[in-house]
Amino acid sequence: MKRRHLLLLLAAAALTGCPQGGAQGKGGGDKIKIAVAGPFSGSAAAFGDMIRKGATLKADELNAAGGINGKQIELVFEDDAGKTAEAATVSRKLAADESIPIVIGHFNSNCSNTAKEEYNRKGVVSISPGSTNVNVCKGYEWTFRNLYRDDYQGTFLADYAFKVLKAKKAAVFYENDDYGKGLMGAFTEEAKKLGLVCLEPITFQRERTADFKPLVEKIKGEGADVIFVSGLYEAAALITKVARGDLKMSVPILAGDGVMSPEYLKLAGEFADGTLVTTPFLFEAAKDDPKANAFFTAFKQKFEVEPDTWAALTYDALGMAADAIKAVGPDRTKIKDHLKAITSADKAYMGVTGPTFFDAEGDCSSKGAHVAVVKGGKFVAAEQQLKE
Amino acid sequence: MIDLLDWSVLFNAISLGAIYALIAVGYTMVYGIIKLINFAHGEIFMVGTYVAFLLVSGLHLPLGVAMGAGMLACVVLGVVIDFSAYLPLRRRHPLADGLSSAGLGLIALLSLAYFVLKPEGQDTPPGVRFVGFLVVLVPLALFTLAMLGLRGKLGRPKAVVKADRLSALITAIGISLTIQTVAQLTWGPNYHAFPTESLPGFFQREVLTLTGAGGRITRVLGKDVVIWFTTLALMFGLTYLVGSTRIGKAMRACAQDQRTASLMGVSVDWVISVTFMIGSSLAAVAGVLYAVKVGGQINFRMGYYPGVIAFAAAVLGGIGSIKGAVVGGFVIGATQALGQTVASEYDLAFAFGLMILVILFRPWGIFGKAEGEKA
Repeated sequence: MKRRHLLLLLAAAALTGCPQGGAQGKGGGDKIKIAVAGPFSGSAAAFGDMIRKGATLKADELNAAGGINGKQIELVFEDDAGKTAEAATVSRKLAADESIPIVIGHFNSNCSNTAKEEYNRKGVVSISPGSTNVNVCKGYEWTFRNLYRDDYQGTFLADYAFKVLKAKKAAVFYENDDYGKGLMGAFTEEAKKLGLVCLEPITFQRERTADFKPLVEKIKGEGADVIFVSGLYEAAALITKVARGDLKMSVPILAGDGVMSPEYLKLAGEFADGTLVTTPFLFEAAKDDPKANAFFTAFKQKFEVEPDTWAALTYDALGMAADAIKAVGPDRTKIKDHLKAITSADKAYMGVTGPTFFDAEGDCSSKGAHVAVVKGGKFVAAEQQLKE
Repeated sequence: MIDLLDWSVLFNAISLGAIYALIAVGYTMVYGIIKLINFAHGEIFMVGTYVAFLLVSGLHLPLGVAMGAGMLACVVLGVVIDFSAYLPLRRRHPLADGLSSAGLGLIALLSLAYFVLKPEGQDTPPGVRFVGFLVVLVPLALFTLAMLGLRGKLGRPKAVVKADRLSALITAIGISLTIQTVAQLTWGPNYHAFPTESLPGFFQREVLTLTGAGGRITRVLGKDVVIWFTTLALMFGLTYLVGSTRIGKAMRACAQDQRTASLMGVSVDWVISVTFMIGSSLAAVAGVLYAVKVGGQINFRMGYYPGVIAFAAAVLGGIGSIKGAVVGGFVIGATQALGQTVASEYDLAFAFGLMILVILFRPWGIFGKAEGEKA
């Protein structure tokens, strides 16, 4: 009897422990496998969902148009759950699979920073559609991204708080991971230059910190006139609800792009209105771009939801990867050299989110930042943008 | 800069402490009777909150009714866990053997069904919803069988099996992970929020405004008052139940000596089931109050930290003692609330540090009794 229990338990454990991998198996000669790694579960899963949809749409479109040089694209989804330990496992698995020439991912900065070690050791190209931490690409020749860095975003946010919102005293909440700390650092540094007073930054941990009331009460007592959240939507929603609902504060809430998710609107509900976030891309700002419009329509038709920034960036990253494979074939080294050579506007990949080209580090400095505001349960372009 | 004796710290400490006390009572009661640390308690807390959330957001039931339903669901879940996982380790019981095999087999089957049915993407297809339906229905069936068994209709306990206490502990951890995984499969990995309009308006109303040191204003909200009084009422109810009723007497008897109690005609298995029921329903209340306090955001991992902290509270107060669990809950709550204002990232370090300090000098906790042998 006992042994039977053990076997059943093991079976259950093995089954429930299965990674949520996508299509597995050896890709035949007529298929090109491209990996997409991101947080498909866990507390950043809302981003992962958009990444999955954006990649699926691009792959379907390319396949319908005949694939890459006649070969169909097969996406391999790997879930890193937004955690470094899982990202390390995923990176080893993907790097070991020789049939995968390129990885789209990872999303969370801490995951990118972990996974890039293995990718650079084994020589796997990766393009991140979401990691903004300063160190993601620096010194790692196999790692690329197609959006701005946190030093740019943090500086931009501080400028916005000071020049547009006319804030004098900022309360800073940051998540204790690479993204949160990096963005907070850039923000406070720029604030110091501007003369914007920052209260002692308050840290929190994803999933662990649930009760923000004492923390927000503290900064309320200290007279903050803007709240800056350097973290993801889940914590930002809690902070918003405590500040607006429990403590009746009306000061502006400003956040980085990690809050720009429909999940934020769902969680914070009516209190979300008025929250300001930065984003590397805004559909409203690209209204006249036929490419962006076509993507928007196709996405909405296929998935019955509106795409967000991350879906668009993933869509572009996959398009760029496909272009590179088309040009030089599914060879890891050749793809890297091809991407490394895209260094100026005339060679840039023209995607939905604008032109993408890289500097010597693999960072993308061709895209600016926009400010979106929540209005009536939707992210729309803020009336006042920061004038350069 | 930081005034430690701010009013807001005090009120936060009381609210947090009340919630931890409610959870800790569940740990301590089960430990008191079967000497088992029920690590699945945090998951019961999570399931109770989810049931209440689903009823509030799906059927628009008032929060109180939904919380009652959550308590009922947890009563069922607590007994099912006891019967399918812990009872077979305590003694040989034909029904329990069957139930645990059936339970484990079903979990394996459900996981399998999930991976077969779930296509790519995060949207819930009907297949997964069917699995979710099974997840609700199967425990109900197991619960009915368990109750019939306790009434003596479906077989009597056989010889006493003394399984290692560590086996029970590992089983508890396994059950905890299993419930978490099933919850993730059923309700998805994302956060859910109680819709604001579903909560009574009184929750956000200010009932008391105090001016503290330096002219700082602290507002006590309705929901804090609700947390305090619900906890107070439940604690009085519990004291009455354990101290002055037949079943309470039976519980105390079982805590002292199970074999002697059973010789005196106490149905030990029934008493243990009732203990699980009480602890689990209190956990459901704590879950809903906790969600209301922190802004109503819940996900499948929400039970982990409160569960661990409340466990520490139970140990601090002296595991096995109800009074100890309540006091421990408030002590840990106060330490955490203070810690949060001093250095927010170390709030738990303060709470656990205090626990370590206490059990260094009193390993049996504040109110616990020193015993010769403990696992």
